[in-house]
Amino acid sequence: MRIPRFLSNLAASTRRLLGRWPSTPAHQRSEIESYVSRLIATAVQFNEIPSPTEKEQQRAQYISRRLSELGIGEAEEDPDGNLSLLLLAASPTEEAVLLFANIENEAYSPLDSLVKLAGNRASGRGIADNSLGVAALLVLAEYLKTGERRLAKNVLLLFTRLQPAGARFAPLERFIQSWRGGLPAALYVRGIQLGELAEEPLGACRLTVHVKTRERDVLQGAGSAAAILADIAFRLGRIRWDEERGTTLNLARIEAGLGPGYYAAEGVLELEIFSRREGPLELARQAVSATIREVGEDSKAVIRVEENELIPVPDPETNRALSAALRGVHRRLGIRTRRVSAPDPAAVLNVHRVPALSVGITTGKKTFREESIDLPPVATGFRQLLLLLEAVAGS
Amino acid sequence: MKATPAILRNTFHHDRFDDPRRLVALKEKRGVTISLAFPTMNEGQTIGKEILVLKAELMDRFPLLDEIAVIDSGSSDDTRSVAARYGAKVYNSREILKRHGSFRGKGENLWKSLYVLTGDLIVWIDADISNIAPRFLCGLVGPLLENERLAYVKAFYERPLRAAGALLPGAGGRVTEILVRPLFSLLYPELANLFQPLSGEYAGRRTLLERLPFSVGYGVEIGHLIDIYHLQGVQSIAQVDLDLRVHRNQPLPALSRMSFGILNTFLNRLERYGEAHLLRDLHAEHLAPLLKDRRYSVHSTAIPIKERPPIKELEEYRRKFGLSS
Repeated sequence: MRIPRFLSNLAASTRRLLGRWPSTPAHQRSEIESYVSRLIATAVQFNEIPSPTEKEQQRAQYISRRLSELGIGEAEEDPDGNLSLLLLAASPTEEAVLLFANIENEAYSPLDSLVKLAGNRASGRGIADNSLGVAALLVLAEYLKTGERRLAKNVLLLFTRLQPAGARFAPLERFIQSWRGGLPAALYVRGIQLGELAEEPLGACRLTVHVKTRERDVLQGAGSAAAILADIAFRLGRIRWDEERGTTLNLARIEAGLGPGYYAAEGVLELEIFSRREGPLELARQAVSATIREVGEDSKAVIRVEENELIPVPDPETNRALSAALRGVHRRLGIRTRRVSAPDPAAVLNVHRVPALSVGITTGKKTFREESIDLPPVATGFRQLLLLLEAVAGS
Repeated sequence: MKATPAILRNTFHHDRFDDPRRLVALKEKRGVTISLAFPTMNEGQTIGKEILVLKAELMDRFPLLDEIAVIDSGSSDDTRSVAARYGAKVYNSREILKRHGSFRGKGENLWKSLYVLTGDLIVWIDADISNIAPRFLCGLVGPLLENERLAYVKAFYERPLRAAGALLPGAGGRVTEILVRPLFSLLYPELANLFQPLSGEYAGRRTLLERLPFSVGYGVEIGHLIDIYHLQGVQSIAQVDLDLRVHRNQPLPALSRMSFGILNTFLNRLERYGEAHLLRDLHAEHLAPLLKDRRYSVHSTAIPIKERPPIKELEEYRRKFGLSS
């Protein structure tokens, strides 16, 4: 895939755009407010659809129906369950700006995912992650369809699954490989990351370690899965990582056993390795695997390591103009840009030389027990999306 | 072969009405307007979401609904301010038709809503629903828009109980099963074909609703059904399967009070329609509508109702124990 010409022109077009858009008139603000209500209502409803189901069919049906209600044709579904819809530019072009969202909710619960509105917040398991992204794309499609705005480039909406079991990013990868036109830019639209900009080139490798031991008496708990996982964590914690290259380890979750009175025969450890460069990332992954193997040999437990996700190190050059455009939009809307040291899943697109960033719609909170979004910033988040789209797809 | 009861002929699944564009076209063709009202009393936890979703989907995206109102019984929480913030017209029940006084109760709010709402079709939805979705409204107005002979539509759904952080399927609707279904089976078998006669979501034509008396409290639903049965017949009643309704479950003492109100209205209606004699001629079977593989049928169960006399009246008994007659 060739590097699009827009890279060199983007900064200039962003300046033109920002200079051209006066402060939003009242009638436009009110028009946008109506779409913002729809966005929140859509996120609420989408969050309550069960997940995961086979290829996320229930959620896909909802999206298909909503897109079909636009009256501009049916969404296309590929064998991976990707749903896409092309919104055509003012005049024919092969280029499309890709906007994608993840339709899954790994934390779905029939009760906890029912959304509650209280004060200026909406809470519910899953609401902070993907539901807002899906809702933003659906409402954006309505906005573009019913509004007067015609863009110079096509807009390609993609609803995908980033974390299907055993094949993370695979549906997105296959979609990109099969796409015939040019992709001058891509935005991964998600939840509570409004203002965040993952500029630091950081890749990640995520692993899940499953430990299983023989059932034993509770008095022999020293050899339990909980003890083995603690041993793995201890040994990994003693490794000196190459901090200069930004290689670090995050022990994200340890879970084992039922509690007092029970022998913990099974457990799971989730960890992620970060690095600024691909080479050290691979070396670190090997070091972690070797350490886990060593613990397995010492303990005689059954240890299975599952490699869940590899987020490549983003290419700052590929993303430079897009990052500048996002910063400009943030300035324009008074959003404080926060550089975050975390890998950006959108970097998967960089491998295909497509400039790509993640864009959050609002702020919020996600903790072990609580998940919520702030409602007032959703309007700003939606405006941010419109301005950024205008910057990369032109008007 | 027995004919299908009228209500079961007018029993639908909401997916028949899930295309709002078709409903809007039908609404325009019929030239009617649609109003939605929520009777409330301390529903600040759920009312905002209900208004947000229904307004965004069925007023802003599709012009199916013409107005949304909240008729409040004097909530002490933030129900009224939340409802106003999300775009509903908010009324204090006491301030409506002041000359006629004020009672506390859901039925009172529904009755007064008829005065402030302007629509030809009126939809009432309880304000404690946690899983609100457009199907709640589309399912209720769909039959009225499709079929002009229908005048009143009741919702039914699975009503799970919240327990231990999860939803237990198939439970809920306790007053219906323990009180109302047996009463209907005995005295109004046709109405026993309603899955959930007490459901809090229903819609009707103003031309019918304005002719109905309203119990101010819990008896409003059962009163409506018996009144409509007499005024227009069961063939004017439809019911719609809305799949699942998640809500706050009532504790047993509250259900007991609810049963009291319902029984009171029921007995009142028997007297009003001169049907107290029915008590001497009770139907012999328990009737329950059955939903299986999306097919609706009636399940009849003969319940032993024969009574034995006091055993002292038996000659054998008296003889054995040396009793005189």
